[in-house]
Amino acid sequence: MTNLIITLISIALIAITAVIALFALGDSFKDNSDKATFSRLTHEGMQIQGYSEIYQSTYGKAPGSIQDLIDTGYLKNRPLGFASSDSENGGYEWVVAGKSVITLHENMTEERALAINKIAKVDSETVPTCNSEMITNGFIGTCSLN
Amino acid sequence: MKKTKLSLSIALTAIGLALCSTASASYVFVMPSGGMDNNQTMEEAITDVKNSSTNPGGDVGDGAEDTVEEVIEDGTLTYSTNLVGNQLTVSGTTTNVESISISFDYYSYMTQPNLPMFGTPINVSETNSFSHTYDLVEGYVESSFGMVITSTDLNGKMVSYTVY
Repeated sequence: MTNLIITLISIALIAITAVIALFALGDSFKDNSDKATFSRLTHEGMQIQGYSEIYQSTYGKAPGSIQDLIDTGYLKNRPLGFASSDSENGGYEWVVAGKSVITLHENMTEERALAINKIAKVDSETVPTCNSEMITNGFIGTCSLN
Repeated sequence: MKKTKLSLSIALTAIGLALCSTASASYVFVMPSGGMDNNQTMEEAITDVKNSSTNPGGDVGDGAEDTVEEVIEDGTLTYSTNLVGNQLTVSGTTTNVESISISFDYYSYMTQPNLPMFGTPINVSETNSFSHTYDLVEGYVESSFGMVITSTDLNGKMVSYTVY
């Protein structure tokens, strides 16, 4: 009987500790993960931007696609975009859309998209719907296809 | 019996709410391309990438690519950081790595535009020791920061890994 009580108390303590950890540290873990994702994506985007400008100064014209940067040796391969270890069930590399580069994530939660936009300082309470003005205006952040 | 039913109802409601809150959709991350312009709309570009036959990015954990994580795990890259005052020193060694560049970046929410700022990458080569000190700008204390390690893997693919 004593053993049973001790076991039950242990289980209860573990459960309480887990709940406290989740509430106290959960946001911190998620926040760092979102910052890491944003950092990596902007880092990759800046690499594409930088090499695109070098290409332009070398060849006198802008590259038409990321593949042009790969074919000319500026990039070893297409940066991973959302197709990295933090994409749970699928993601895609970077592609060109007009004057922007984009990377798609088909299984992202709205919460995470909002968190990334918060880090990107997108001034919106909701995830904006993707539109052509974003491409023209140099938008940086996450937008929704739906 | 009533208590059991009540508990079951609460549990089902909680599961339903959890499912609703994790509903996923399609989102894209957008950045300016730095001069590239293929006159495609976003929808066309998304169709292209979905139809791509190159298996973009491959599958995570498929063993087909060596990632920077693996390079670190294999011990072909070791590194450490030391922050003293406003100076951050990154040092380490590489072995059997064709080329690797390491850059330090940090977020400064006190700057405009609010983008991560990157230090000058250090380039180290095969079997090399490296050490580099970065002077951090004022205000970094209130920022989050991390390292971005960019490398070429054994298949010549560019990979990046962010450490926080």
